[in-house]
Amino acid sequence: MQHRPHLTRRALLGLPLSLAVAAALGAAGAGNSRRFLFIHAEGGWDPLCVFAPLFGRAGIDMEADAAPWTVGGLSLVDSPSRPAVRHFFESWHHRTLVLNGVSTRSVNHETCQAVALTGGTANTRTDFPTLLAAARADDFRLPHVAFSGPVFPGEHSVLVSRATGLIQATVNGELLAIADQPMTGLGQPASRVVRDYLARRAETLAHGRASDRSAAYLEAVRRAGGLQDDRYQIELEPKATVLSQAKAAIAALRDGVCRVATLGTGFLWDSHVDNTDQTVNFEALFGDLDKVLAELAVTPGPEGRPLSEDTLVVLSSEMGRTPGYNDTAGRDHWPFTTMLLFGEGLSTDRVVGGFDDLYGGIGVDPASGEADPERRGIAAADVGATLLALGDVDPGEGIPGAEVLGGLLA
Amino acid sequence: MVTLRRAFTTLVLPLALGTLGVTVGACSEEASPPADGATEAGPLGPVEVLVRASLDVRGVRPSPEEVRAVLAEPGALDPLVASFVDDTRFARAIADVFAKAFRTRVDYYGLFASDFGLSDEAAFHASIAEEPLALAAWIAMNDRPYTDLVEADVTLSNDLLATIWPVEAVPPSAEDGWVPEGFHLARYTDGRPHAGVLSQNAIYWRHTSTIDNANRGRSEALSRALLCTSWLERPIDFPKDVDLTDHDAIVEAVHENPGCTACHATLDPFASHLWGFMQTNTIATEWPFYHVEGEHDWMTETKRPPGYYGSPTGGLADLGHAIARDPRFVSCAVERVYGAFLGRPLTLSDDGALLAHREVFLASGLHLKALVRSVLGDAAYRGRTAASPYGGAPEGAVLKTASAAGVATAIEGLTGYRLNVYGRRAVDTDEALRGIAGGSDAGYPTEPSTGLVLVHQRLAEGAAAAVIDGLGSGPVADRLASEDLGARPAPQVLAELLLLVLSRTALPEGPEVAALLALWDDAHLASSRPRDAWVATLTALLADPEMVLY
Repeated sequence: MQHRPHLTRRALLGLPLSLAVAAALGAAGAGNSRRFLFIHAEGGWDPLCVFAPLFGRAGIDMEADAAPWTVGGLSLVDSPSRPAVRHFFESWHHRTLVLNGVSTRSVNHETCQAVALTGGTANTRTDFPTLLAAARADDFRLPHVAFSGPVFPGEHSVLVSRATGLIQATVNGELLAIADQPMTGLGQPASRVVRDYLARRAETLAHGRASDRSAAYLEAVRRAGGLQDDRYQIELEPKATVLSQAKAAIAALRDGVCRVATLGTGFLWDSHVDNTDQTVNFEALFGDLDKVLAELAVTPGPEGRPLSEDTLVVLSSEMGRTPGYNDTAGRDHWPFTTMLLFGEGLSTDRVVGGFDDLYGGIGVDPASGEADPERRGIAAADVGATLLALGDVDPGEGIPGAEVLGGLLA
Repeated sequence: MVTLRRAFTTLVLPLALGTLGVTVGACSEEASPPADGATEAGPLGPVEVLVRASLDVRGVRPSPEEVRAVLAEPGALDPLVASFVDDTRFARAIADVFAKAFRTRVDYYGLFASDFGLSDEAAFHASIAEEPLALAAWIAMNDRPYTDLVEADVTLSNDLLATIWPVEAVPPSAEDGWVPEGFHLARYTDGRPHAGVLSQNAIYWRHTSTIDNANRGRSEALSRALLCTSWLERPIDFPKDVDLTDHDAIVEAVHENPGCTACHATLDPFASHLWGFMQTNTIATEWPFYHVEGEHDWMTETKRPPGYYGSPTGGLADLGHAIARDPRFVSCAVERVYGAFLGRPLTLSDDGALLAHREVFLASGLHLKALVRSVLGDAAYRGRTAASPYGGAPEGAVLKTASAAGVATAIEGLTGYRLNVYGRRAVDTDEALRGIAGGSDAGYPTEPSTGLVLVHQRLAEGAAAAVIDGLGSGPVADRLASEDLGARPAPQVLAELLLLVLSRTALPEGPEVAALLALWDDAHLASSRPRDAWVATLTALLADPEMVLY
C-alpha cells in the first residue's frame, strides 16, 4: 500500500485554500490518480429518513418508528424497517462524510439536478464528473462513462460516453440483429476495414477544414474505434440495478477505461404519495452500496492498488423533501438536501453542515468545515469545487466563484 | 468543365490523400481552396450550402440533378434553396425545432395504451408526443400566422388519439388543407378553451403538476417553450425569515415577501390559467378530460387570479392572446429557428442577425416559411462571419454537427432503411439509441461525440446491408438494382454513389473512387464474400464524416 502525506486542516490555514489543496495533493500525487464514481438518487430523497435526526422539532414530522442513532462519528436516523441501511453505516461509517443542508436552490427536478451536479442553473454548464474527466482526457479511452442518470456535458460532449439503452449491442454489432427488421451486418474483419477507412476520412476532414468540430469528430472516431477494437463490453443488464451498473463501472475503472463513472438509481424517489417508498429505496440503495464499497476494496486498479484507495464515491440527490407530510402521506419538494462522500482524502466519520429549526440548510466554514449558521446551506458549487480540487482540477475554471471546502479534507 | 475540375481538386484530392495516409497539411496543395471556391475558414461553397440547406429543411441530401445544376450555374442556388420550404418534408424540420421546446418526445408517458384498451404501446406514446409538433408543422406548411400556435381553435389528432381523447374531426378548409401524414384537424369537445398548444393534452401529460406545485412547473415549461424565458434562471435564495414548513406562511410569503414576489407575482397568475388541467383522479381514462369545474381552484390554492405579467386576463384563451401579443413570443421563435439552423448556441454577437430575421418574420405576417427562407440566406448560416446591419458579427457556422436523428433521416432518404427497435425509430428513444448519441427529449447536442459515431456507423451498416440484400428502396437501392453485386464494382458506379450519397463529383478514374475500390478489395479479402465487400463499401459511404459534419 502506498502512503502519502495527509493534508490536514491546519496545513491549509496559512495558504490560499485552493493553492494549498492543489499543492498538497499534487505533491502527494494522489489527486492525479484519483478516480470517481458518482451515484445520483433521482427524484429527491428524504434526508429525514436517514441523515437528519431532527426529532422533537416543531413542524418536522419524523417517522413513527424512527429513532436517533449514533454510529462512530455519525448522527443518523435508525428504523427497524431499514436494516440494510443500519448495516451499511455500521460497516462504512469510518469511510463516510455526510454533508447535511446542501442547497440546490430550487424545487424543480431538472433545475436542482443541474445545481447539484454543476453548481449552477445554466444548462450550458459542465457537470463535476465531466470536468474531472476532461482534466485527464488524454489518459482514458472513455474519460467519463455515464451508465444512467442526469449528465451535463457542456462543451465536452465528446468526452462523455453514455452506456445507456442499447450501447452494448451498438458496440458489438448485435444491434442490427435485434432490430425490428433484423439485418446481417459485417463481421469483425470487414468492420475493421471500414473503421480504418473512416478514421482516415476523419483525419482528412480535420486537416482539410480545421475547426473545433472536425477535431472533436476525429477524437470521437478514435475513441469509438478503440472501443470496438478492444471489444470492451459494457456489461449493462436491461433494467439494471445500482449494483449491476456499479459493477460495470468498477470494471471500467479497474481496466483504466474511464476516470469517472456516473450512474443513477432511476427516478424512484419522488414520493409525493406515500413516503414509505423512501424506505424501500434506501434499503435497496444502501444494500447495493455496501457491496459496491466492498468490491472497490478488493478490486485492484490499473496501478495495482485497491480501487478504494484512490476512488472517491459521491452519492447525491437533487433535492430533499418537505418536513411535513402532505394529505397523501407523501412529502413534496424541498430545496435543501444531503450529499455523501466516501473515500480517502476526506475527513470521514463525520457529519458537516446541518438543518436549522425551520429545516433550512446550515452552511459550513470553508476552512474548518464547522457549522456556520450565517451561511444558508452548503452550496453545491462548493462541494463541486472541493471534488475538483481532490481531482487536481483548478475549480476556478470550471466553477467560477465557488469555494473549496478544505475543512472537509483529511 | 472548369468548375468540375476545381471541384475535383478541392473535394476529391483531400479524400484520396487521406485515404492513402497522407495529410493535406503535408503537401503543397494545402493552400488550395478547399471546396467550391470556399476559403478554409470562409464561406461555404455553393454545393456545401446546397447540402446544408437540403439536410436542414428537407432532411435529405440534394439529388444529383440539383448538385449538377448548382455546379453548372451557382446562381441557381438561391432560388433552389428558397424553394425547399415548400417541400412537405419541411414539416419534419419544424416539428424537430419545436420538439426541443415542448419536450414531448419522451419514451413513455405516465399512462399506457393498455389503460385505454389499446395494444400498441409504441404508437400510443409516439402519437401523444407529436400532438403539439403536428400543430406547429400545420401552421408552417399552410402559411398560417405563428400566433396560431397559442390561438388556434383546432388541434391535430390521429386515429389513435381520436379514440382516447375527447376530440371531434374538423373538416379542413381549402387554405388549411395540408396536414401531417396520419393526422387530421380536430377540436376538443370537453369544454376547454381553445388556445393552440395551450389546450393540448400532450403538453400537460408531459409536464404534470400537483396541487401544491399549483401548475408552476407547467408554467415554467410553457414560458421556456414559447417565450424563451425562465423564472428558474433567476437566483433562488429562500428567505431565512420564512417558515418553509408552514403552508400558510409560504402562501403569504409568495404574496408579500420581496424575495418571493419577484418571481411569484408573475408566475402564479400565469399558472392560474391552468387549473382545468389539474388531474387528481387516479383513473387513467379520466385523464384525457379537462375540468371546467376546476378552473377557479386558484381561489383556494394560490389565491392569485389569472394574469399575464401584471395585466389581468380571463381564461386560457386570453392567456394565448396575451402570449401572442408579447414581443418575446416572436423573438423566441426566431431564436429557436436561427439557433437550430446555425447548429450552435446563440451568443450576444447574434443579436443583430436575430433582429434582421425578426423583421422579415414580422413583415411576412409571421409565416415560418419566410423566417426560414431568411435564415437560409444568412451570412453566418453560409459560413461567413459578417457584420449585421443591426450590430454584432455572428460567427460563421463553418461546420455543423448533424444529430443522430438527422443522420438517420438522411440515410433513410437515400436507402429507405429505418432502424426500428421496440416499434419506434431507434434514434428517437432513450431506451434504444438516442441517449447513447447524447440526445434527450430536449434534443441532441451540437458537438460530435463517441456515441454519435457509434450510432452513425451502425445505422450506415444496417442501411448498407438492407440495400445489398435487396431490402432497400430510394435512390441508392435504385442505382444498385441492376448491378451485379457478386462482382467488384465498376468505377463508374462508385463515382455515381459518391454523388448520390455525398454530393461529390468524382471522376471514375480518380483517386477517390480508387480508394473505395481498395476498400472493396480489402473487405473482400477480409470476408471472402462479395456481399460483405459491397456492404462494407456502402457502409463507408453512408458513415462518411461528411454525413455528420456538414
